[in-house]
Amino acid sequence: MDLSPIYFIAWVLPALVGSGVWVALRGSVRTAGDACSAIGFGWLIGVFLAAECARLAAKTNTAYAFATTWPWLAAIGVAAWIVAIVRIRRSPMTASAKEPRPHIALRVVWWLLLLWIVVRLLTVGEEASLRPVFPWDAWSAWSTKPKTWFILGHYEPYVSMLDWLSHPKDALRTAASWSYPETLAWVQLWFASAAQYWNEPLVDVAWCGALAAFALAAYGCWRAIGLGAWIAIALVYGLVSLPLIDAHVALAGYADLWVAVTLGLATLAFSRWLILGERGQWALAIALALLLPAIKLEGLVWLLAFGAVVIVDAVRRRRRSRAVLVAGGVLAAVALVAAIGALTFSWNQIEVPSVGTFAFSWHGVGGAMLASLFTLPNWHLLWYLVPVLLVARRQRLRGDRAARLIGLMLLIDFGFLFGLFFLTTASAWAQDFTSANRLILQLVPSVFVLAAVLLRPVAASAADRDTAIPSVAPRVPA
Amino acid sequence: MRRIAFALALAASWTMLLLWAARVDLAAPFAPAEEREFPGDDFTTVFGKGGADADRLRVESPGEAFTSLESLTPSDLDAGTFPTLRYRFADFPRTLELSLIFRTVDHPEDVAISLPWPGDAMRTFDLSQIPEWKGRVVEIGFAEFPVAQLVPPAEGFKPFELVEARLWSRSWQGDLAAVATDWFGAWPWTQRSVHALGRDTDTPRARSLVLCVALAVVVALVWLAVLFRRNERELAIGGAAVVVAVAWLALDVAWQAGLWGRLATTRAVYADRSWLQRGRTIADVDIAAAAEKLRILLRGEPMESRILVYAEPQRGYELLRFIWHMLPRNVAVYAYAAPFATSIPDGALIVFYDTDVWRTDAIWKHLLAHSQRVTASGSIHRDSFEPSPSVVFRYRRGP
Repeated sequence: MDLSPIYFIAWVLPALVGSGVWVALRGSVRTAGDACSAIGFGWLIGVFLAAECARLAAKTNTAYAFATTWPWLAAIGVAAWIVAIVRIRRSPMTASAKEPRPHIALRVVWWLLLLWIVVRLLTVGEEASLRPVFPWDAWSAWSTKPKTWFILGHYEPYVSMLDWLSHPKDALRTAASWSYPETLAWVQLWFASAAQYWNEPLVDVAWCGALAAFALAAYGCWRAIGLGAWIAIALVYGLVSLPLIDAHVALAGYADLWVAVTLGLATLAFSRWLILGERGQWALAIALALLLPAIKLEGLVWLLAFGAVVIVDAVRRRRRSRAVLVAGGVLAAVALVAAIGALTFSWNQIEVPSVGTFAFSWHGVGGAMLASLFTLPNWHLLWYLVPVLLVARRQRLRGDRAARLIGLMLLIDFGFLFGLFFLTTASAWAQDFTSANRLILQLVPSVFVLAAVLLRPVAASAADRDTAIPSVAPRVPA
Repeated sequence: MRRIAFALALAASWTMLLLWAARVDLAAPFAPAEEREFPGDDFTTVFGKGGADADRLRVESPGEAFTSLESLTPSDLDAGTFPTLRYRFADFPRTLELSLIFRTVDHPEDVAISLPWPGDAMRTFDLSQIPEWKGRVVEIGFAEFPVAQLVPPAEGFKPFELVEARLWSRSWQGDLAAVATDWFGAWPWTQRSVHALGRDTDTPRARSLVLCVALAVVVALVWLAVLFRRNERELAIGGAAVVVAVAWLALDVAWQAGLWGRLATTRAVYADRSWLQRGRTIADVDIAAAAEKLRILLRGEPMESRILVYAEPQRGYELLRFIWHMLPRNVAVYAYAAPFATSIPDGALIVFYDTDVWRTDAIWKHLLAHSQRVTASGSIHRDSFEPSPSVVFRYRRGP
């Protein structure tokens, strides 16, 4: 029993299906940048579709989740590609603006950075593919459910300890992570069932796939919004080179990287909508953002911040029906969370089940936070450069709707983290250097999206408009 | 002319920055004024087996718990006089971690300090940052053990040689070498690596490389602004971009080297194994074996049977790993059930992992008063004192 060919199909099929969805939403594939986006977005969309299909179709035979699910996924893919082909045929053929050939030195830089990115992904990917799951919460929280369901052969719900004890005859399970969202568990089941046995290296290497897919998606998107080839790849390199992100791939198993790339993809798609006016990207951004709470609980906070800027954008455009739709969606999500009793507020504390109770008071964790961001080897020079970029491009930040809205979203997100670490007892997570960096990690890909929006050529930014008008002609890639 | 001035200003500034980063004592000489040399064969193996090979100590096998220790008793060695440790090994395997062990008159208990993987080159460590390094040194040595939680203990050891150790008095050379070892030394992954790199060891570390590189960039930008006129702004901006890019790349090259070092450890254990073997090769073989024994004991139990595992509070890692290895049995941590003890159903299994509180603790004895111990033969209390990592009771509430 070793590596099954079906396992390779489990990697390729999501990319085929998801890229069909992306192209159907985009309506055309004209440049190599689009192809990168289609594969990058596509793989992650496909993996999430596979997980959700498995959740619906494979509860009674989890060990065969792949065999049960792939026809459904393939059917979605065929339908998506039919729509994509129809849309491509209907879309008018427009001549691509010929981009001037970059200087030889920049082309050399482009290839060197690409090589370095590949080396990095191979390094951390090999690390992930060699050993069983290693980090504490990876096995004690995130892999507990899929391992149990896979070996057991069927799904059994995880409940609170009291429920588990109170119904001894029922097929129930409990764990400290019983209330954690289960999308990632189904992602793991997809790959484990394709491997045909529970094998953690084969499951965990998907973390490398997630980072590589985001890198591709980001490169394609940043080329589409007007960034030069070498700036786009430099940004991708900047992201992939960050040590803490690499550590989350090499020591795969935590959910933070998946939250980061999903929020990053949502922000990428939203930026395309804002800059290029592609309506399909708006829908994709909303869908990806709605997925966040299904990956990790704090994804709800990022969803709310994302929802807020979507509403601001929709109101600005005076498309009230859409605003009402979005507001309704966000409120429904909040109502759902409230309904299952996720949060309990009182005047001096907030209670989050399975996470803890956080009392409100000032906590001086500035030293630990500064160390996390500026002196420990987690982020290279990222947090030194971000303020410099914001100051240098302050006029763009003020005047460009895309930059302003993404900046607003990140402001809300970082404001939440500031409140969490400085004003509640969650400060302990910053003081002991545990969760603080991981929560910041979840926002980092979106920070790079903001950087890309700020760095795109001035001519490409058009103006601050009330209606989305494509402001950048498709480019010829490097 | 300005470019030459820029280069000179930069070289001077960065040199000063490096001296600050290395905590160089400007009053100290460049080379150490005093030195104590300890050839490898001066050391004796305390744990493990080994012997002198020329002037080296060759360690052939580990001692108990797969740990080896080599030490010596120096004569008249004042810690404060010698704040710089130099050490060199040969053929040191990637799968072992290295620690410095010492005792002083002031601290008669062993003090252990993790050191980066030594490779074959001379390494340097600044002992002045260790509070216990003061007074007369009674014993000093090196301990080696399989990389914690990453390397199966039985597979960690390969023979190696302790070539030499030296202690230097304070010098520029020693301080600069120490910061180089700290910045570019190979440290293994730990459980803390996914939270905050650089905090994954308790060893006192040198000044932050990231901070120093950032300061180096700021210094370069300041000199660019000072030395270049407004009409040379384009050149200055280009120069600034190059400085930032080079700084980022420098940090990234150091990080990539660290990644390769860590990968070498992982490859040493797993690279030659099949996918199936990789999935089954774990570092906590003892815990997995205990879980397997229990699974065999409970093979007749229905899968929905509730199993609660208790371990001493300080053994949280072992407890959770035990539960992980017990999956897919319906198993949970007893501590989470304790607040609902009255709800524990009749027939639930309570497992005591590596603890005897079930027979020494009055509260437990009371709770288990009507419960039955589950043994391999199915009999009750066959042998309450048999050495076993886990003891199982079928919980009965009693009348």
